[in-house]
Amino acid sequence: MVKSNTAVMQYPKSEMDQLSDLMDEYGEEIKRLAFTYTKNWQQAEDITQEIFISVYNNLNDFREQSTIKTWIYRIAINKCKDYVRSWHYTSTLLTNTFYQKSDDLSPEEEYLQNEQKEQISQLILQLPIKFREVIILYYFKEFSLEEISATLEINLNTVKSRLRRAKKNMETKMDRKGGV
Amino acid sequence: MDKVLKEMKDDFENYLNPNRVFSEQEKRRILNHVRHQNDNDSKKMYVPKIISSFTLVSLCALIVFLVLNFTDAGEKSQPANLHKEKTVVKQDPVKKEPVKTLPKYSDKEILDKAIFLQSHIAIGMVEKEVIDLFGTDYKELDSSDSESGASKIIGYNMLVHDSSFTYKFSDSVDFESLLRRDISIQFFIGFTNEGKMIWANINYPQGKDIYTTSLNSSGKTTEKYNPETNSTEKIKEERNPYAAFPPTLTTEEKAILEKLKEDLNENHLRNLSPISIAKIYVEANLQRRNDVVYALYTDQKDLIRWTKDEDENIPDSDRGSTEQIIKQFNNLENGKFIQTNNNEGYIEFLVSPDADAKSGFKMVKDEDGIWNVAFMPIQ
Repeated sequence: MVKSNTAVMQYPKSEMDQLSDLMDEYGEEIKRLAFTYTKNWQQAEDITQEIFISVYNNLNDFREQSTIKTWIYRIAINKCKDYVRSWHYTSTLLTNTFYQKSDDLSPEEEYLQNEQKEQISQLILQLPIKFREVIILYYFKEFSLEEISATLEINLNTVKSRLRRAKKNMETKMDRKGGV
Repeated sequence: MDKVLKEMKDDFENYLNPNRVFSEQEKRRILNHVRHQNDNDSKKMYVPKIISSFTLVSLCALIVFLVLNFTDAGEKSQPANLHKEKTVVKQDPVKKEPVKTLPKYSDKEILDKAIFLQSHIAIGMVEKEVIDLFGTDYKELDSSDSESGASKIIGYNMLVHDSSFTYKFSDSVDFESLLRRDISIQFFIGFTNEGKMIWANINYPQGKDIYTTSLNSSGKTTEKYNPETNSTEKIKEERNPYAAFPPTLTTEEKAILEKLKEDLNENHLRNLSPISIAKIYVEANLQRRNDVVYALYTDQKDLIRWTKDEDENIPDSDRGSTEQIIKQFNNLENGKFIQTNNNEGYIEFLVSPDADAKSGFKMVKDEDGIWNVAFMPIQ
């Protein structure tokens, strides 16, 4: 279960103070989440700023039907997807991909990269976004299936099916590489 | 797969980045942005109120004007002394609200960031490491006139007042923007052909001064510049104990090297000390004047190891790179000449503090009484 939010429970607090508390509580994980979409820290930083500004602007709209965590994640994921669809992202993607390919790894680094968990981490980031996000939310952000469904605004069966297909996809790739 | 994924939450986060990625500064920037947005919004909120107040006042003024005019019309038929003097109340011009700007970074915050930069950079870092660390918000600058040996220079403007300053660079350090804190830190990095950091330069304001910390292979220096008095003061210098420097020739030694370049006549060396001759030898090597280098070798037949013709055929690649030459003869000028017999001696010197042993640079006094360099002088 998602931990209950502490940041917006402590009323009365100014909206600025609430925003500050929310950033203390979620800043780190939201920026990391943004990175899993953009794979670029600078872009993740820009999006994180947009996300929290949006959170601030919509604080009054927050209904306690969902937890603040799922609410912030919904805003974050929507922002990330908007960004990934944008011209700016697609125009910089090529440069970044090229950059990664030109990276020469030392034998030690290569060995480390070949470690199973790192391989899996790498595979997760290579998954299509719709698979990547369910894996990350479910396994690493401790969301329940229902919460993923609410956050991504897709039905529960779709969440289950995407999780299954994501894992299948990774297993196939691992088999090809001679992994798990 | 399910089991592995369940166990690897921390591994995944470490894979993304083992360090904290959301900093206090980012948080502050967001809060500043929101504050700024609020200021603008509140201004917008006041506009309709101001307009309606203004309309109301205008209406009242119009009514008063009409009433007074109407009264005046009636009064005009009365005696002049009954006219009341009108008092004109001069209103103060509307006071302009000061333009609210985004709060700027304090000197403490700027200094913290500058210290962070200094502690995270190192000569020899590759470009990718630099960009991973400091982000992609840099601008590539013209390096064609660079005298620093950099074939690529990039610049970062950090902790900027607003985003329009992110890529604002001129030919030199932007003192004005730094003093206004529009840009809190201007950070320049030079890379070699191979993409390795060769130097870095961090400029930041503190009070009315601009501090510049320069980092290169010889160490780190911090200077304070005051634009008002145009004065520079060295604050701190940390020399890299392992750094190597070419010898510094005196005016006399330079003049003799120039004469040697012209006529290769070793008589110019007659009154020079063995250490001065050795310094000229190193400098001639660095200048790739192989003819001068050969002229400085001993003429004693039994000590000649190769002829001038053979010397001319030695490829440059076998003569050592500039860096190798500097390292090999580093600190020679501070060495001590030890004469072992009438015609021989050597300069004892320490190339670096961590060297296992002292080096020796062999010198030979020829029959003409002039000290020359022995072939293969390093023992």
